[in-house]
Amino acid sequence: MKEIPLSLCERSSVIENLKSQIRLDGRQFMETRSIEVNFGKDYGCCTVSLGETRVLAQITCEVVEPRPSRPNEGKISIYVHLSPMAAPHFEMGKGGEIIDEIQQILDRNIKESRCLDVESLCIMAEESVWQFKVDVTVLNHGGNLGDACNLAAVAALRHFHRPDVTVEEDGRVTIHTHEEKELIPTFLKKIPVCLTFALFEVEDDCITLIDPTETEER
Amino acid sequence: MAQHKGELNFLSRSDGSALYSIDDTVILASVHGPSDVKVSNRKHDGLHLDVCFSPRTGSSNIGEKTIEAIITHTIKQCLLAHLHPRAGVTLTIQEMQSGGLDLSVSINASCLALLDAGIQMSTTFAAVTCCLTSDDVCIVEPSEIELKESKAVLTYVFDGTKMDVITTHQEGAFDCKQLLKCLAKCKTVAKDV
Repeated sequence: MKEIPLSLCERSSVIENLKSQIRLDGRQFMETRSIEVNFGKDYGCCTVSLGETRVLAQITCEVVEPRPSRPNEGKISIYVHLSPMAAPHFEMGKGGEIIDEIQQILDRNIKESRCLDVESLCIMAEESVWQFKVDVTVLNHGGNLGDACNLAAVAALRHFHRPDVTVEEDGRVTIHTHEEKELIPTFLKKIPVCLTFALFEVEDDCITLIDPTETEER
Repeated sequence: MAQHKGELNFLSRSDGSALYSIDDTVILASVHGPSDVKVSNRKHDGLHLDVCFSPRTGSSNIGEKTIEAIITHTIKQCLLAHLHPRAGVTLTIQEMQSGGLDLSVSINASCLALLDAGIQMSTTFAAVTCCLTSDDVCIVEPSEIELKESKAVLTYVFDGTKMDVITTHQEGAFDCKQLLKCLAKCKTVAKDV
């Protein structure tokens, strides 16, 4: 389905209201929407609602061989999916610019900031490390996907517990189920927080809004 | 009977959405339509239905495609497709939490989402899952542990008006008598759903 374009009167009404210091949903310029975080039954499952925007994040882990260039570091891979339920013009599997943008934001916030110590994910150097797979699915696009996805991914990472592992003397690695040994929580050194601003150029004046809705984004 | 919970109009951008849960299995269904569809999919005499099931971990495999096919088959029988020619309806199903009863929860959630979107249907439908343990006991709406230890899992979808069977889906080994016994048990439960 094609994207419904923003009509001229909607566009001009948003800009005119901003000139009179009003936002369409009644918020102040620097006021964010209410945030609700819900955790699922399984560890690592989290749903975030930022106003009308809803995002689901799920973390899974498996033991893999490390990268040859970094033999004692674990891996984190982040995947963003835009569900067709998020907006009528989204299609499953097809990304576009939005997915690239969100993926970049999450990569920078989580991987490059090193908030999760990847060396703690190492089981045996050069042989086996944990790989964390973060799957973020956008359920409803109500604006400000970057913030919501970031919040969901970080909350899910903090909620996630990984299975305990023992290394035998002969080099075999045994993964224990949660019945055998307690699961180990993920330790985050720092918590990346993302804030999105929308900048409007109105008659030589620059208006800044925090946490834009979908209409304001367009 | 297990705890059933449902919430309508959960998503703002969808035409209709429903969040349905039975015990630990939670599924979100969302409907967009009737609206325009690609020229290749356009049907001159009816509605084109597109079902998409997405699991939590993102990659879609054969298991997910099977669920999509079963749901498409069920809905096609209940939808008044001839009222919307050259249009398309997209049904997206997202697994929020898995407790083993994915198929029946998805079908129930889809029915509620279609109702919420206001798409004309000839009848509503309800799905019930039951499992057969090794001692031939039929448990309706089993928990995850009971599902793992069972030898067969059966899912039936009944229509709302005449309580006829629309779709069935079975996994495992069992004989005719057990099939009929489970069918009768599920029918009584479906009336409540």
